[in-house]
Amino acid sequence: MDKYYILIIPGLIMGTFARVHMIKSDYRQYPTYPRGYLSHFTLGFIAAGLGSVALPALIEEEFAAITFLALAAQQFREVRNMEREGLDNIEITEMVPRGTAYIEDIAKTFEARNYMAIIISLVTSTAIYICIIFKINRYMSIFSGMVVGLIVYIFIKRMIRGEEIADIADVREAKISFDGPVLKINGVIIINVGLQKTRDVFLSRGLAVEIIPKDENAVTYLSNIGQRQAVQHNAANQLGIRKDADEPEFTPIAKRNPENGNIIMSIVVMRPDVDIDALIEAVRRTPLLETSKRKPSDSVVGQKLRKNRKKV
Amino acid sequence: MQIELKDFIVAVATINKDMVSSGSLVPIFYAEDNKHLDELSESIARILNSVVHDIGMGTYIIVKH
Repeated sequence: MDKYYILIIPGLIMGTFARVHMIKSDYRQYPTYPRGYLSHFTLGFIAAGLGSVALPALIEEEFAAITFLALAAQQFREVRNMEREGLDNIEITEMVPRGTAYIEDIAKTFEARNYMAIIISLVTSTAIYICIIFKINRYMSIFSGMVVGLIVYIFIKRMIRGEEIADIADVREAKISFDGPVLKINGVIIINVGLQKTRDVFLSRGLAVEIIPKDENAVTYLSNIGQRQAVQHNAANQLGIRKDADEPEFTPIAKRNPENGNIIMSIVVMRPDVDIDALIEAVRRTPLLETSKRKPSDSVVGQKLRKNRKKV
Repeated sequence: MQIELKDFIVAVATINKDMVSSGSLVPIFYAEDNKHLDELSESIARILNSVVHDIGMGTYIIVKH
């Protein structure tokens, strides 16, 4: 059994390293620190362990051991459920909710990262084994195994890196105005605001942007209500919102211009020093949700429509 | 999960004394003047976590969204 440690330990280290490197706490404060960190670190370690013992099990012709990987997959689906449930439960305590689509996206990401830990530890141990077959020096094989693991990590990280709003749309400043009680942004009706006091707050502290999709796929992405909710949540989180729980009229609103598919969003900020550039940046950096992605232009109908448009 | 009523008129505040709705379950509050109307609807909205909408003719509806 001793001979397999050379496969297992580097794999374990690389897999755990990959998972830990992916854990970072930013403005989202997710995973939560410090307890959330510990549980994800442990799960990552377990994933890496499963990945690194898969190859030795195969070499020993213990094919039954491979079924443990199926068990692992089950386990990590459970991680997704755990994340989803946790975020769902705290949703009502959020000033501006994340929305179910954003939650699903976060949960999916956490599941995928555990699979990444399995793959990287498996690849590392396989690379070391291949080096040993070719009678390469022990230390040299460990080193090359780790290098291969690192390359695969960088590759996967790039592959699962999501897009941002900035990749599919332009974000521009928009103008807030009132037509009687009706709040309009760039001429699109947003909401009817009854009280003069509230209207004054909108005019003095309100910021608004127009999100202009770059192509027809982007129009569909942005029409997704979950995607809009994610934009609102992120903007409110980063800029600070002028609202308390009993003032629902100051909830950020993202409406769609039904004529051209542009999204118009307004937010009332608390601090007077928050300017429009900050809002534009926050909106541009919002992740594109996997679940809102659609490619209508690839369909038969989409291609026909495109041809028609060229004719016109 | 939290279950609550949404998109529901919780009250009507108005200075239009002609506004009567017999048999309706929505309470109607009559205000003295526009200033009173604003104060009245604001306090109702704060108490019930809802939003004031101006539907014209001196009538405000308070809606839970």
